Amino acid sequence: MALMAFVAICGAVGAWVPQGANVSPEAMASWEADNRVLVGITRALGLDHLFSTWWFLTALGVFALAMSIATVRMAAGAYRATDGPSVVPHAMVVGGSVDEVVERARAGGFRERRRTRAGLRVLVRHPLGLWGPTVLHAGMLVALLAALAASALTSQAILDLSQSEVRSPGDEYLVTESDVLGRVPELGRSVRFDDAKTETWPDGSLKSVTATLSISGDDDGWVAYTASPNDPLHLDGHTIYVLPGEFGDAAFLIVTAPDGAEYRIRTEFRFVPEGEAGYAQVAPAGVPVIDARWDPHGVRGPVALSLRPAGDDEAEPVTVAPGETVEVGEYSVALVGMAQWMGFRIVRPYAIGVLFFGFGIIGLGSLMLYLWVSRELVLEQTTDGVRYGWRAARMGRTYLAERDAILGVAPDAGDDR
Amino acid sequence: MQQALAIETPFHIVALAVYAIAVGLTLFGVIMSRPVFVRAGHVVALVGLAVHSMALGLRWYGAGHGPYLTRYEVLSSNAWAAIALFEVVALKDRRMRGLAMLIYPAALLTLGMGVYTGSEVQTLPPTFTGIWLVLHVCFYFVAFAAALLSLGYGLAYVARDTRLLTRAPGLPDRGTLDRESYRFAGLTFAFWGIGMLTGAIWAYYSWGRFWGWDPVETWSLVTWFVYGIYLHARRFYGLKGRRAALLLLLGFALAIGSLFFTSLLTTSLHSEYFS
Repeated sequence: MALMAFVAICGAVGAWVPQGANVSPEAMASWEADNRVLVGITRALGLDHLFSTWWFLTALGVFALAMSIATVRMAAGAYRATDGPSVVPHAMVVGGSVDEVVERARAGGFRERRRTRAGLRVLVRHPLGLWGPTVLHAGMLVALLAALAASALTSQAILDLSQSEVRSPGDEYLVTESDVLGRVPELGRSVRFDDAKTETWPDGSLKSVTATLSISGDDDGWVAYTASPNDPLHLDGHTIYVLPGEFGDAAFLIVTAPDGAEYRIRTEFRFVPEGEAGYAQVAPAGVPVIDARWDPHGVRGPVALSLRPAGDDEAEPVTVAPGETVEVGEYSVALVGMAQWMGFRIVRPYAIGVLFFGFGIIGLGSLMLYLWVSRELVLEQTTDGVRYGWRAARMGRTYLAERDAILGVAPDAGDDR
Repeated sequence: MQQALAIETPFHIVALAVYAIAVGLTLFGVIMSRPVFVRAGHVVALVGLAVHSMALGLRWYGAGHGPYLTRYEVLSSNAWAAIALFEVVALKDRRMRGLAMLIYPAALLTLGMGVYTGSEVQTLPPTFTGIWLVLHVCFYFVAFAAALLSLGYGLAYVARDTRLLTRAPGLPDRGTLDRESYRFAGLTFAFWGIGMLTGAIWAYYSWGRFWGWDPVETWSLVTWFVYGIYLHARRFYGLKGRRAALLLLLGFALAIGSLFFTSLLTTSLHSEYFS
């Protein structure tokens, strides 16, 4: 419980302090400016990347260890309860017959487990439910360990391809996130982006997008595959995701600067919904010098691409068609052509199957806990009547009515009959 | 479809009004110790639930997707789940009807906030497809309803214990209230947990990661842990009564915060959609 409280408090702190992995550097700087008093302690303890600090990961490890011990102890307890009667007959129904009670119990779904040497008769309902807490905690343990392994050993990279562009093995990615062993994903085959097909809702917004990718086969040919959000492509131990929102049209430009330097630039516009236009900046040498508007639906006119000097709202945009060259401020810009582009996330997952298996065990344990509440009725015939013991694994009072009906006594007659 | 959308908001407002009447009748019945008003409130709430169900059905048909995308839809669905779960409990055990004095106002407030945020329809983004999202959201709806009931039982226990509601009709004894709050906290823990897990699977298929320590995810985990601490404290350390109710109050506050407010107050992946 102390560990649970510790992890919960860490979670609360980590949710409050922006985590570097989830926010932009500007947002982080803004938070630090607003909370100057806390900057020192935040940096000293690593609260801005709390969930990857050694002490938090150690706490999770200790938590997993504690859960392992608890699970083993629970399993031993469940086994003992399955193996023998867990209650002794202590209350009495005067004048009853054990055989009649057993008959009613069987009609109510109870099963007679065994006759003990002492002449006890044991009836059980949902004996598997005894294992519910064990299964639930075992599932949590499996999921926690798999999650730790997955976090440490999963690597991923972002790939940005335009139509017909090929990424060959060994080529650079846009961004990489290696695993703890320093590995990055490598499919070992060439990947070509063929096209993206979209569907839109009646209001013009995006409904679905499906990318077609060709992967080089073993015999130097290409094999076409598709991938879409929620339906990634699994191949050779890697998974290729379509990045939702990271696709559209790209303009291939040759920009000539006033000093004569020539830059070949791909300017990307994100998907433009019906009735809208998209905007991007052209940045030779990393400095934005031209604002570009992409109007694929013809909202502003018949020519889709228009350019003007960056930040100059007064300047009249210059339209440019493929093959044309225009002057934009001091720059000369040639539009070579337009093509689709798309962003992909390539992941080499680790232990995901085990993780989801752990999730399944947790679900099963929850069902066992709440749907299969184990009950046990232990009976002994005496000369005065039936002596009995009763146990429900959880929420005992909820099942008293069931017990009373089986025993054939008045409801709510009390426990000590 | 447009016709369905045109009439679903009036249906929601009618449901809101009917629930308000149910709240009035129930509160009057409980405070004045008049069981007939509590019963009447229950019947009126059932009528409200029927109207509310129609409103959600129309919304579903008109929007072309389940009522789980916008804040309006999420709040309305949560209110519906809370009332529906409570009615199932109250129909099964009539001793519990008095608890309506806490459940109906909470559901009314939830639905009212939803209606207040506006009924603008949003189209489903490409990632919002698949069974895992539907399971994720549905489990959270039930978890919220169970958390509300659990808190309701806990608060009713405190009210009984402090002799605030000694003669309230339709409320069982303190022991039963305490046990039921425990029982529904267990249900909350199970459904909240499965909701998180299905969300993780959905996130994995959509974004290539099952967990990202996003603020909404993290607060959800914290909430789950608090319910876990509550269950362990009851099972192994004899926690019950007022202290247990206090811990439930913390758990419920966290649940509300992570479900409805975190995405508004922080930068979260969920903010993009549940706005």
